[in-house]
Amino acid sequence: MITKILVDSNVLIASSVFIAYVDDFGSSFKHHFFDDAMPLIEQLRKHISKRIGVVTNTIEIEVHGVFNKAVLDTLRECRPNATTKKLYEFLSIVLNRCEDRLSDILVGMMREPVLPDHKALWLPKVEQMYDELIQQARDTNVQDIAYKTAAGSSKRFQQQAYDALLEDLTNRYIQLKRLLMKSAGSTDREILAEAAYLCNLYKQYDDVKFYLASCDLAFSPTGPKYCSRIVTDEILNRFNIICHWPSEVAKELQRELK
Amino acid sequence: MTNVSELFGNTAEFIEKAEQTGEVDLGILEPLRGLSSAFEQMSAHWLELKPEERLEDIFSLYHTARNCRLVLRRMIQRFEESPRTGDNPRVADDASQVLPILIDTFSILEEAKSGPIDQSRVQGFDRTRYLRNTARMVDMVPNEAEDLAAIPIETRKKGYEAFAEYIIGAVHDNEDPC
Repeated sequence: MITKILVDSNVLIASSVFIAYVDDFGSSFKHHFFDDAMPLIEQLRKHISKRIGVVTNTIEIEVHGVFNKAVLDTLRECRPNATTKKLYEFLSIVLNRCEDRLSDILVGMMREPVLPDHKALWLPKVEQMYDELIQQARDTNVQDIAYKTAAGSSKRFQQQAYDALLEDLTNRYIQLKRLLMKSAGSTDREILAEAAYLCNLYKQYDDVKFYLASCDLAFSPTGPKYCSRIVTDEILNRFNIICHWPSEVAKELQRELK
Repeated sequence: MTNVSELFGNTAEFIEKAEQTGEVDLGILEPLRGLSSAFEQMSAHWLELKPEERLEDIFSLYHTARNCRLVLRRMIQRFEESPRTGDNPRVADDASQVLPILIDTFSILEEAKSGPIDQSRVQGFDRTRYLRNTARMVDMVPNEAEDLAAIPIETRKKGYEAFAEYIIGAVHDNEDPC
């Protein structure tokens, strides 16, 4: 069995944003998911001969776009209060550092081509999945479920049962309910369609365990002990893709490669 | 002032001679310093936003010009040190990898100065990435630690804070895993 891990753009961004301070600030400047992302990046680099880490053009373009936009937004915000030359120079240095780190990380990954026609075969299935999940989120009322389930308990403990069930259900439905506030964006759906295409492609040649490493709740589970995973499980059922946080995928990979 | 095309031409001649003879002529430093100065002036040009120009275009052009100057800085350093380090004619081979990109980039930046800026031609950020990736492979990119240290601390502090906010917000507003 072979293992393939598609690395989402947010993982590449998180692992690329790192600037070590040596002078004034006493600590490094890094993305808040940097520590979560790096173990996976290091594992992929360590086992580079196994060709496990995969990226696509869509993912790479998104990463560059995010860096450029963040720099420009920072420029707009800081411009009125800073000397233009020094601010421009600072942001140019920051962008260079991030892009250089990204370039070094991408050296350890395979860039898999996914033609638009191939992606187009899977995108409608991804769209349908999210549409159905959003409807499910709308139709689900956790208070109702907790109330009806607690109604079966003895009267003395009904309130306690309701409270416990409500907490448990609220945690379990975090990922699903979140889709109502912030569903998977168009690029996320494209990335998932590309993942589905690649997973299907690899399966034609070998038995494959296919992961999507992501810090995005539109894919990866959340909640206590990752109990909130309705979307994650649906992705697994429909597309055979295991979605998880990069640190968890790194642990799985380490177990597999022992 | 010597025409920039002449400076590029002179540099190319020195490099070609070094590749043929296996020896570096330190006369190359003069045209290289001239080119560095040209790119410095180019960077300075893009520091001022004119009403008809977009900030993203200006910054990407500044970033490109600045990176060209960085590559030249490293090139000058390596040529200067080559008699002592024995980096000869390796430094000429390496310089020949990036020189065509610098020539091409200068002509595009020069064209952009007379406006309007056509990003499909300039491809500012993409062009810089291509230059840096090539230059890094042949050790033609300097360490920017001193440049960073020379930025006023307040500018860096506010810059890091704002950048952190935008880089996180631009991706997703994800919750930490429990």
